[in-house]
Amino acid sequence: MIKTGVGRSNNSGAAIAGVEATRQALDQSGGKADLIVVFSTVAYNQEEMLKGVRSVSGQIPLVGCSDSGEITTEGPVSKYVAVMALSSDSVNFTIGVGGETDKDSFKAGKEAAGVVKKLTPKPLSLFVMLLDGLAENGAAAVRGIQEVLGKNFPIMGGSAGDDFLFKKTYQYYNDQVLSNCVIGIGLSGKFSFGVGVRHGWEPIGLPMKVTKAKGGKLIEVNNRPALSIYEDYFGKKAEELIKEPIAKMAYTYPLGMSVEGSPELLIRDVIIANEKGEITCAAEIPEGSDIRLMLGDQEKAIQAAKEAAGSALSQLKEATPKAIFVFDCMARNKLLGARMGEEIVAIQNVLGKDIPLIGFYTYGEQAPLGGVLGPECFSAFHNETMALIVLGE
Amino acid sequence: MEKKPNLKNSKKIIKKTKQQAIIAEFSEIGQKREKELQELDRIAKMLVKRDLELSEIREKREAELKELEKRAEDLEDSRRALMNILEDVEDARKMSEEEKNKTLTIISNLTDGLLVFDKNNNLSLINPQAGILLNVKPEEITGNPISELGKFLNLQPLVNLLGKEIKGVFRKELKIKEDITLEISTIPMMSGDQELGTLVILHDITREKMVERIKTEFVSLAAHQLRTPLSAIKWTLDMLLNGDLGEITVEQKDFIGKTYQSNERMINLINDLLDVTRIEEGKYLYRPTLTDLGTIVQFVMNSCKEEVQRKKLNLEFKKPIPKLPKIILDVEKIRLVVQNLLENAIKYTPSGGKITVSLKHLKDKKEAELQVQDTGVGIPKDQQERVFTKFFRAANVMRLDTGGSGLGLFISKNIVEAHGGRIRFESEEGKGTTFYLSLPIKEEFVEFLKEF
Repeated sequence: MIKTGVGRSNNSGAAIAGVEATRQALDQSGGKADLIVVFSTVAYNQEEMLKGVRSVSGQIPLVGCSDSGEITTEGPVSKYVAVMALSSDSVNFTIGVGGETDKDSFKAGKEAAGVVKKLTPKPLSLFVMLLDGLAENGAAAVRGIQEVLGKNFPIMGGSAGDDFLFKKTYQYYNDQVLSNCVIGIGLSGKFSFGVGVRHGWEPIGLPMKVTKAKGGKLIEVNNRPALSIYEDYFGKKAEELIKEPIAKMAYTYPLGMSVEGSPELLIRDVIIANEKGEITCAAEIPEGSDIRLMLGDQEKAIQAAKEAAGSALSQLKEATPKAIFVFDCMARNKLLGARMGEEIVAIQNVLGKDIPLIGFYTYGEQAPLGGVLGPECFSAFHNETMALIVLGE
Repeated sequence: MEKKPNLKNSKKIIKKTKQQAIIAEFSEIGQKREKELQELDRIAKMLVKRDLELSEIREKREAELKELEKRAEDLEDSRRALMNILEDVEDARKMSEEEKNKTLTIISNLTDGLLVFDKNNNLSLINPQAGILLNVKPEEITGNPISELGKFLNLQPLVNLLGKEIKGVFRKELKIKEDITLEISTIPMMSGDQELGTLVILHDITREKMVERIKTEFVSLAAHQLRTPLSAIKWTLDMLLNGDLGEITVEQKDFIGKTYQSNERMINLINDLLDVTRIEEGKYLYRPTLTDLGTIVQFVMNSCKEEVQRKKLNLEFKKPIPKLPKIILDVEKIRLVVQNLLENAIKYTPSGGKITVSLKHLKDKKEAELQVQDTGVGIPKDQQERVFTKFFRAANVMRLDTGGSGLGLFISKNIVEAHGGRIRFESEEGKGTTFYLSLPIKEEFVEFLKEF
């Protein structure tokens, strides 16, 4: 049986907020839990917030990360701490961590998956990752995990945020507040799950060829500096675009590349551009890829969330939803603005309004392409995407 | 023959030109398509630019909206706070109005007369009762300074008592008319340490005065009526004791002697009562003569000698050296006081005790002081403040079953005060009592008298 509870707090005291949110979550889960999940604003002193959580949760295994907005059953908020308590006698949660995502994301992913694989009591069914949002190459971290768990293993997750500052993100692992890490949670045992992966962004303009790239760094497109894409489309000078993280202007105008196995283009966020005209993306865009500028639309984005929930529900088959995890891109938060709540409501309309839900606004999502499970499953690094998991039994 | 190759050539040429034409056509289509695509791209870029501008505007609007919402909330909060404050103020106003009405009702219905003077001594309020008591119309005198109030004939006695600056007065009796006596008190009204003015309270004691007078008249009449038959009994007993009415046995003499003593005590009591009524009627005036106080004390001590010896008391008289100057006093009345003090000392001092009478000249105070110190039963602490009231008998002396009317000290105090002197005591139960009697020595007056 799976029993879950969700709490949130925006108490001005970091520790008190941690205590309050954890208490609410544990009260609903029947006072005990096998896993605590924490998503928090960076506005709180991270250590104090986590101490508050631990003062209530004790030594229950804990995972989590900082974000750019919190989502619970009650809807999206910002500058909160959100906590989920999961209790189950049929599901096993095994947690692990890998470090140095700023230097070698592949190795970090491999490390985290290795620990989880080693410690899990039963064969793993699903791997959930919480990755540093400023990792050097998010896609490589996913590949590192695949190296350990297999090419077709379902991997879900989100990249930690820092309230749109793009300076430093945090990962929580039991009592520790970490950075440049990837946290892995392996789910094993008797349960069913479904995933949904959709963004709803649409390509515009002519395809462009990536003529020079290295990892997450886009150097030349159509043999011109990569930044010229945005100079052309935005009608702005390069100096203007590198003044602050280009993400602030371009998060709703990402790049999309066609990938086999995905009905939608795989999106890459642009984060920072430099004076050489190079753009650092949230994950790699391989040299030779055809890319297009993507344009978001509020109606399409909400529709995409609804479709993601629908596909997750169909994968659950006959099982009853028990808990929902939402990895929702911060760009969608920005695109929807005041309507951001509608996206979550759309999901809840499909999966059930009272099913405990937790999630956060991410700097990147990890999920199977097209939300496909089974032998055709191939997990990748996404941007601007609504990626959700629903656990059922 | 030559033509063939030519033909062949020309065919070739034709083929080539056709190919070229096709290529040209294709490239034309391609160029056209390219142009269309570029046009589309240009439009896409234009649209994105516009979209970016729109989203920037939307974001700004949303931020503004949020700010507006917050401001609206703040405004609503302020409005609510203001409404609360207004309500509070309204409540406070109502309450103070109610309080004011209540206070005014109380003041108007008070049986005492009240006059309120502000800090500049202007009459700011006078209640109806004060108007009735003083026989003035409140609306005619309100607002006038006290100096102007003296012009109203009915107010003159009060204004004279209070003075122009309204001095502190406590329970002063004031006869404002033949049939109305008031007891006047003033109370300074303070708010913190700020003076707001003065409250003058007029308490009508006419009725109390009348009851007191009737009582005094009754006692006076009863005492006079009692004294006549008691005097007759006294003389009859005296004649019996002296054997004027024939021989009597020793036993008879003893009984008649006791009866005579009792009768004597009753006469004393009646005399004391008469003194009290005279004091209360204000008729107990004293007849002053220039006298030596020491002589009076000596005389009283001599008259008590017998009783002192009977009780085996040690009586000492410490006379002043040099002698006291003569004092103007009523010999008869002061003798009564000294006698009262000494008799008390003898009465309440057990056998073997010591009584010390001393007379001093307190030069700095220009006073003569008589001390009567005994080693008697003393006066209980809790009853000391009632010593000079009428009919006071201390609990411990009641048990001794000694005679006494309880009027002596009341009379003494009145006599001493009529002389401008003071009487006080120190006492400890079981150890003894000292009475201090002081009388002023008015030497200037004495010098003045000497010239005649």
